[in-house]
Amino acid sequence: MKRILLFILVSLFLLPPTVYAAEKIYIDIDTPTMRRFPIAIPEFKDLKGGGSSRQLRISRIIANDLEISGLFNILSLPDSLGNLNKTDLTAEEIDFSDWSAIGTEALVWGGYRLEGERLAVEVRLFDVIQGRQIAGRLYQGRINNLREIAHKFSNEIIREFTGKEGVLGTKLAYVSNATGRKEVYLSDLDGYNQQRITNDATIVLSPAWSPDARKIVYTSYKRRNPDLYLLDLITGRNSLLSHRPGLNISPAWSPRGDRIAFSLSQEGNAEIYSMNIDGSQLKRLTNSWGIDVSPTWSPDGGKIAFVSSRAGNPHIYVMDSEGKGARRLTYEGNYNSSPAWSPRGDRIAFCSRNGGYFQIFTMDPQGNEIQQLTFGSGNNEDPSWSPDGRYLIFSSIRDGNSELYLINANGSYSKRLTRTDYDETNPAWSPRIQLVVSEP
Amino acid sequence: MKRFKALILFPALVLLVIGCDKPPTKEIAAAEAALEAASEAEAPRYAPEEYSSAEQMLTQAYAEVKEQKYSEAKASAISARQLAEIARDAALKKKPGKEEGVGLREEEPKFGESGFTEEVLAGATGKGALGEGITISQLSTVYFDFDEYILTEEARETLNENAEWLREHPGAKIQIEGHCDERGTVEYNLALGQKRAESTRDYLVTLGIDNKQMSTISYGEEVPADPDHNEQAWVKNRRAEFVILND
Repeated sequence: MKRILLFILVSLFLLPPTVYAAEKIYIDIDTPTMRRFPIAIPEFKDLKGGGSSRQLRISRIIANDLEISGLFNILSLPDSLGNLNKTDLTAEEIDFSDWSAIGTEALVWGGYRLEGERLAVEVRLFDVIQGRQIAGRLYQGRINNLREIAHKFSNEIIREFTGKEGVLGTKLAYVSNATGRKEVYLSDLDGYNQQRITNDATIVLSPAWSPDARKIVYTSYKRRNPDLYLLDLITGRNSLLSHRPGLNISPAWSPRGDRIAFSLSQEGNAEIYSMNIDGSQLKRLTNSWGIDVSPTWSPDGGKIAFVSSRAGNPHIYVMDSEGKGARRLTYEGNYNSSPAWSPRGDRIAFCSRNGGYFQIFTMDPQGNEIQQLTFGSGNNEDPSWSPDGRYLIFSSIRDGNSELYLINANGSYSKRLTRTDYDETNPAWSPRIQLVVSEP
Repeated sequence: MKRFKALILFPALVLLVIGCDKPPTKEIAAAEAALEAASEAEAPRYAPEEYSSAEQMLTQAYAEVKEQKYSEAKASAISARQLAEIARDAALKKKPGKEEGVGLREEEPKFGESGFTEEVLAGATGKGALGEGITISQLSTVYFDFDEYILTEEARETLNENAEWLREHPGAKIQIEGHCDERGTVEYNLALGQKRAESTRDYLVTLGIDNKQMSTISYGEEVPADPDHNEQAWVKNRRAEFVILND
């Protein structure tokens, strides 16, 4: 299947220059007392007239995206506003007093035109209080780009309100035992487009993304040993990357994409190594009598945090990416593991046994300013950062079986993402994904 | 290592191996004593869940003795003792006025802490973790403490028995599978399981078993013997199992 990068046309239009000048931050995401911003998102209009064959629920995708972000209060609408017949979507045509009357401060409104497979979507975001348009976009593509288009505008809304683009439309890789065996799955952040990407019928663990989000490296027992495999998501090609005696586990892709750090036990004890992505130039980075696993790279690629039991119990350490200058970061408790370095570089998330349960914490890269994000009974494990560093995803058994949960970086908002009868574990949040669509 | 050598010097220990055609009176007595100690520590009040699971386990052991399932009874009695020790420790921790002494220690009680030792008998399932190329194992599973790969006294005694069998079957190729309980990180547990398999193999080598007869693999927390999410399951899951490979 031949695929090409982005062809969707994103055109800016009808944006008076004054709007750029008046850009303001509506939501300060880092404030713990952040108020959810009220927003209304009525159904999008079919602009074709005479009724299309399909009604597209674009507004619902956007509403769900904004709900996941935890930043908005999506208002339910009275019939009079929820089903407007207007087809002109500009600020001049909108009576903003109707909207401010229901308590909303923002309005997302759009229309679409579907002809055969071809799809055009026009969307606008309005400031209801000031009675003006904040953003407008026209997207043209194919019907199968519908969700990507909606996510793209959701990200635009978040950028307008917070100053930084959202992460909707990114993907999660995780392990599920839905088939009775552990396999790796992908899904969109909103739970759609779930697909199983391994079929090894054994144990598959620890998926890790390449920085271009096109490849995944993982551990599988396919050859009756925990080995590393590399799957190219574009070509579907799967290759054996490391098959040495003993453990070949816990891979982490360097931010530049050229190296993979991981653990091997070929010399009798789990040690951290790095290698090129074709398996060449293997270099040993740790040398301790204890277990050394779970490397995570700093976003500049200069350092690696990891877990070591060299002091008796598992703790988080940091070293430079050549293996020099190892230093212990955690001293609290007797079980600290699963480090994940924020893409912003300022925090390291980890998992710590606290009061009998595993909880998610973050600390700065010097091991100071420790903050606990999860509380209560039920283990919370395996944190993975969103590409903007604003959220973490982790697995928890708080509701019975293991499911995936989202939490924001200061712990003030969390949301359950999966809801199955199976166990979802080992989540890995993808880097931002370039829109990939089929050739027209 | 010194302790390993000491063991070799006292082959008499090996002769202490007891079959399981008799009720496990020693283990049951130990479990009863541990429950009594837990009771004295006011575990029924301060650690009621832990205490009642220990009681239940002992009741199960009694029932198994009645049904003449002696090896099951023995495993249950050992679990009951361990659970009672956990209940006692938990109670001591929670009891008012006792907190400072125990501090924030979260370690689990050590096997044999109460001043007696005993061998843990097989949870041999007769199947490899992945169900491949396996015959019924004559070799007993050994168990480990939480986050530990060092062999307990009980584990070494079990391995002494296993070594006997291996000496009698020099042609047998075995794989030692290291396993962990579900607590802790998947990746760290893979490494811990590997350490458990290797410390088991290394001890057998000190008993004169040929390294070439043995291979190791870790399954981390992926293949529990008991899929439950409680202490009773965890004590059974921290283990090294033996699989005889068909060549």
